Amino acid sequence: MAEGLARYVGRSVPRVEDERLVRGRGRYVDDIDLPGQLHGAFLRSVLANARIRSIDATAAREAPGVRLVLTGADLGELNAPLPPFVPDPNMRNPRTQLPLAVDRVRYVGEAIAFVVAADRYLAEDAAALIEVDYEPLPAVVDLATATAAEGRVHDEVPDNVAGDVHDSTGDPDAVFAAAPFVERVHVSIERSTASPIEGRGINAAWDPDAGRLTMYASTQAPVPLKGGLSRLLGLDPDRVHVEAPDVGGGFGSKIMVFYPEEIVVPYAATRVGAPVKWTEDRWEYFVAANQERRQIHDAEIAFDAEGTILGVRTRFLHDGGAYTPYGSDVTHNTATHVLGQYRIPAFEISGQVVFTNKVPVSPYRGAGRPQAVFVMERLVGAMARRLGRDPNEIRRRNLIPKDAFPYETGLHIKAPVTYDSGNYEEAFDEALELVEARTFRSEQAAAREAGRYLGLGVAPYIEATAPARNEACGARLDEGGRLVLAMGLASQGQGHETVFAQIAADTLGCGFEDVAVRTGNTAGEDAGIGTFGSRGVVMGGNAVALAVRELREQLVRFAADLFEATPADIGIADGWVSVAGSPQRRLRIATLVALAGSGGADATAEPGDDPATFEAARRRAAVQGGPTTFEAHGQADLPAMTFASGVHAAIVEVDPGTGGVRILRYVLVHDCGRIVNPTIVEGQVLGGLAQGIGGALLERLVFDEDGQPQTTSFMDFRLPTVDDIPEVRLAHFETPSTLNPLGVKGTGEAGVIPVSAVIAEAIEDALAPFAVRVDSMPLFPDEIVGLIERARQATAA
Amino acid sequence: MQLDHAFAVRADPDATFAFLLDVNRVAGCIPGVTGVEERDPDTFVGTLKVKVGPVGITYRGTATIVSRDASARQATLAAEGIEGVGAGRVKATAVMAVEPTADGSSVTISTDLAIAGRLAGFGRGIIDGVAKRIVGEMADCIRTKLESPEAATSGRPD
Repeated sequence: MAEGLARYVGRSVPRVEDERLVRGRGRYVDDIDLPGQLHGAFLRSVLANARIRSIDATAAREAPGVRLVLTGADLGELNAPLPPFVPDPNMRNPRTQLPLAVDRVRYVGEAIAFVVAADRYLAEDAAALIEVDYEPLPAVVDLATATAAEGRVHDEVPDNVAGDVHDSTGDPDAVFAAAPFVERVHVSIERSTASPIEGRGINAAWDPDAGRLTMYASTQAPVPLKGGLSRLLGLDPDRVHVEAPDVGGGFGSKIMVFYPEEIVVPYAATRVGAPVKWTEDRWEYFVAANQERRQIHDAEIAFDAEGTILGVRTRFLHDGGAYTPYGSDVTHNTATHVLGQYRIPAFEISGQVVFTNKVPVSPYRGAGRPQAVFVMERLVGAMARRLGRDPNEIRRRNLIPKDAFPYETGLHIKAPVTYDSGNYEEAFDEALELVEARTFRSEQAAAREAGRYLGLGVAPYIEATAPARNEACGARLDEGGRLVLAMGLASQGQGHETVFAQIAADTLGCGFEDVAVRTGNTAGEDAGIGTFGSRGVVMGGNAVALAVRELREQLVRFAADLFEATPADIGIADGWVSVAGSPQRRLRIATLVALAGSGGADATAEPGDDPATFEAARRRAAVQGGPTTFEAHGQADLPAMTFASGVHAAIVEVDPGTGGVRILRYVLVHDCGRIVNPTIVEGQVLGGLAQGIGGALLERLVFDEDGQPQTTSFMDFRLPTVDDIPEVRLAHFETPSTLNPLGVKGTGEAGVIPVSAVIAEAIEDALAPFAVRVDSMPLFPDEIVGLIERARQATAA
Repeated sequence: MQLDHAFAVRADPDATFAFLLDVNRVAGCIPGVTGVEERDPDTFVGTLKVKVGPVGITYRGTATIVSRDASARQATLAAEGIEGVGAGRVKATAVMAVEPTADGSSVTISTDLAIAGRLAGFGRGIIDGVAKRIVGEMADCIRTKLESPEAATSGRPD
């Protein structure tokens, strides 16, 4: 089938959603106002770890405009620990939170009560009247010391360890014992947050007469929300409808299923019998939306004098936050991505998921992978230094060769980790070429003569994409002959409406403009899981292809009958259905749909239809009767993950006086298998790069010793702006996946994954005259100045 | 968060230091502080009303002089307050020191401030601005009360 995908797939078809999104005509949750709607505000914990002695909501219940106040006690049986997103055998102490905290809070921002009032002002004023009597407990804040901390996040877990992750391949003990060289690094990566432009939000309406709940939510996963809500609220699934309208970014933080708000707000709607809207403000996003990235690794690499990597080991701590709804999910990604593109015979990774009194952790774009690449490339850097070799020579030497695919890593986390396809060596060479690595050393030397410090950083990476095997698509031809796709898979701006229409148009043989895609709506299609793990195009795209292929077969069978031809001779292209060998015998798809719908009675020929063919077909249709409809369902069931890959390289300039870092050149070579829409892929990887630069140089979530978040606005948490984004030289490789008919791999997270590793190496290289070591991310200017200072003192001493 | 403030007073360093530790007098100089009562010579209760942008918050709390060194003219004050309405709290340790200068005294106040609740969301930039304003008004008031009439007419140093 893949060879038929030629007209639209692979072309930069302009994004159809941009007409409304770019013109400010998007419809986001907060744009949706329902008749009679009320507004909600949450009361959130101001302490990171405390017992609650009492909650007194008397004054709030009597406050002006208040319709409902919910505390945990008011929720009854509903106030049970929320379901984990994925059950996880690696968790020895799995914990999820209550919708509303009752006698204990474990992070600043944890929801304690919900107030519904005539407007948000009244709701917030009333929430402030709720008296919570706290008994503060010592907070567990620092990951490095959390397992031996005085405080406990959960009283029955004295070491604050939630779970363990371990995997290995080869015989690492023997390899390390016999290795000619071993180098070690200690690496620390800070916490960060996804920061979508639109925070979370819900507008839930309860129709008491129909017993029907409708919820609009800014979510990446409307389908699981629907299923969960019907289960938790005891409603028939047919009576729960969840819709993700336009969503202003998610990056992982909008797929928790369930956030407390996602159950409390709709429940409140059922209690007041009116729509209840809650729109997250930025402070709430910083204290109550999931975060990620904090890990500490002690890693080592074994190698020989020729520069062959013999083995890698790492032990790490992973900050899981106060609850672990995602279990060890993020750490699995870390474990499966350390080896990356390298052929390494022995590997061992063991980590602990550790509770801290901070917002819970769930995947944020990259999801454990940036940390893995950072660790691996810091090891390669240490190895290169020890051997006095160019790190890129070492990288090139150890890459998995093209003829080694499918490549079995020997790892078995969740399932055997096998790379489907890749072309690592050529992509690596291309990246070095684009970044002008060959001439860089003379450029660097000349710059140093002039008192400027330039450095080169390079990092190859892989990305396991498309987890969670199912996604579905409903396809039908409407009365006008238009192809309508209905999908539960929600878009947060990725361009689903465009990409899926491209695949559908090529699969059916119709015009791109004759396809309409409805996504994120459980009314049309409620199988599937959600948009995460770079799975949209793999799962959704293949579901579309399956559904439309089935639909095409229906249309071909119908046309063969009408044309009195064999199905094999029926061709569909550009919206025309014709018979092989006699191209004049052709009718529009719309004409055939009209003939099918009325048994020929009401159909009229469309412009360009062959009149003789039309008349003959109409007679056949009348004989055949009808109506015939064209409807199909496609379910992608792809058990194995696809492995996308790429190489980033950068030249940076560091000012040793101010610690300022400027990226002079950035190169991004990227391979996500078959490309459906180059512009969209480019947008994805460039967006990821921007977030990666934020994570490397600008963004850090700071907590004080009591666990109080100190970075709760964009004044204190600096997002990258256009000024921080360098000019990028981009190259695409297309090594099709062997695991799905379209040959596609995911691309949503690729751009962010190697950025910290690249920037770290480039800074280290730029500051080589000072013998600076970079082992943490992010790095702010004052820290770079501090590194230089410490390196100077070490040299002096 | 760590906040550092300094101001100058055209008055004798010992008199300035004594004034700073005379809670009944200095309290009148801190904008928003009312209802100060002495529990013992080193412990005081009272309320502090602060306004940060659109948010006005009243803290009820205790301030304790945990150490004082008259010869070094240095004292440490620990304060803790909880919101009158709402669930926020604030904790501060302030080290005050008075140094002699050519034309009087230089006062430095180094505060380690921990905030929980609505104010915490404003972040360091805003909080520092508010603290500067409070210290600035306090400094003006202290100068008015301490500086001699002739010093006052010759213009106040800033």
